[in-house]
Amino acid sequence: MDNIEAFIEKFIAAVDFQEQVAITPETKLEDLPEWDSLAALGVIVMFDMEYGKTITGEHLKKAATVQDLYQLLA
Amino acid sequence: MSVAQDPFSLSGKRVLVTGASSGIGRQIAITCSQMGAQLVITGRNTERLEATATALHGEGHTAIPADLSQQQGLDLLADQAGALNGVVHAAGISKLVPFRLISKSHLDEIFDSNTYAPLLLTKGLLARKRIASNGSILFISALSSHSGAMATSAYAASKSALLGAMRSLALEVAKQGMRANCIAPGYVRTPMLDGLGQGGGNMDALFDLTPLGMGDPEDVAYASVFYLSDASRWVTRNYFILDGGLSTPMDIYA
Ligand SMILES: NC(=O)c1ccc[n+]([C@@H]2O[C@H](COP(=O)([O-])OP(=O)(O)OC[C@H]3O[C@@H](n4cnc5c(N)ncnc54)[C@H](OP(=O)(O)O)[C@@H]3O)[C@@H](O)[C@H]2O)c1
Repeated sequence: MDNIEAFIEKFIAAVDFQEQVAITPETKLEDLPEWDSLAALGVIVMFDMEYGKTITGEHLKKAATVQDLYQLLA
Repeated sequence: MSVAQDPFSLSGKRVLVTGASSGIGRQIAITCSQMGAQLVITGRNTERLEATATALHGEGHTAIPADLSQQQGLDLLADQAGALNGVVHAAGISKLVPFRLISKSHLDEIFDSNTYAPLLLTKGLLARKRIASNGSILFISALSSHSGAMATSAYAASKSALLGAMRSLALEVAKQGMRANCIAPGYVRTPMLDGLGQGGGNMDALFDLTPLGMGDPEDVAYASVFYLSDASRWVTRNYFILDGGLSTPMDIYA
């Protein structure tokens, strides 16, 4: 499994931020200005393509921080 | 009105339905059997396909499991289907993928099941002369072929491809008295739609916009009965939007 730094890189690529943002494990998803439904879909597809892991919109709703997302890999 | 006079009856017709192991295809098969048809049903999951077979009314139906994304599956089905008066291509898959994440493998996967399978199966059946004259070929496309919902580029493309193919096919088979048409449903309550909701799609807002609310598989099945029956004998090359009124403000031209 990737460490959290590698995961954050993939997260940034999946959301495809237009404005650069600094992201740490503690970053709250709802604080990210570009976090919307298309960004969330990108993360779902990234989990599937990069990690072969199926996650749902429900999982995402329950995840508050980037760290919470990372834990979905476990 | 006796069955023999009823132009909407499917009595005496043999109809192949793909995607019959779930959702819309399953209901089309069941409703066609209620309308008197003899069914040939197909799908990948043998257990769910058998469950549909048990739910069919009347006798003499056949279930043939096959993966239609494989040439082997297409050949097997075309070989074993027997003589047909109607074909409904209801098998299909859907995945929400933002455009920036599409890939050749994603496009291939969607097009294999949604576009190549129905076209190549039709070709296989025609080559084997399985479809009777006056036969009806029906493709289940989708409203998103025009409306292009978010993150559905591959799916929307695979479904709009059916429109052009159907129109050309219909021209070629008209001299044999055959007809080809598309039904384009809006949002229908099925396992596929449930999957899209779980996959991060926001469905509730769309249902609010639909004057008649979300559709049920029965709604697509009833329209399919019309397209398969002799009642629609003058209907071909038609693209029929069935969406509870959702798309009217979208200015969609078929
Ligand atoms: N639900 C909607 O809102 C909606 C709207 C517009 C159009 N549609 C279209 O309606 C059709 C039916 O959708 P649904 O909602 O009923 O979906 P569904 O419940 O997921 O059923 C899809 C069916 O297609 C079969 N299938 C998929 N790929 C196949 C393959 N490669 N080979 C053989 N069978 C395959 C599945 O077989 P197994 O399950 O056995 O694998 C299943 O029987 C699809 O073409 C879909 O695009 C649906």
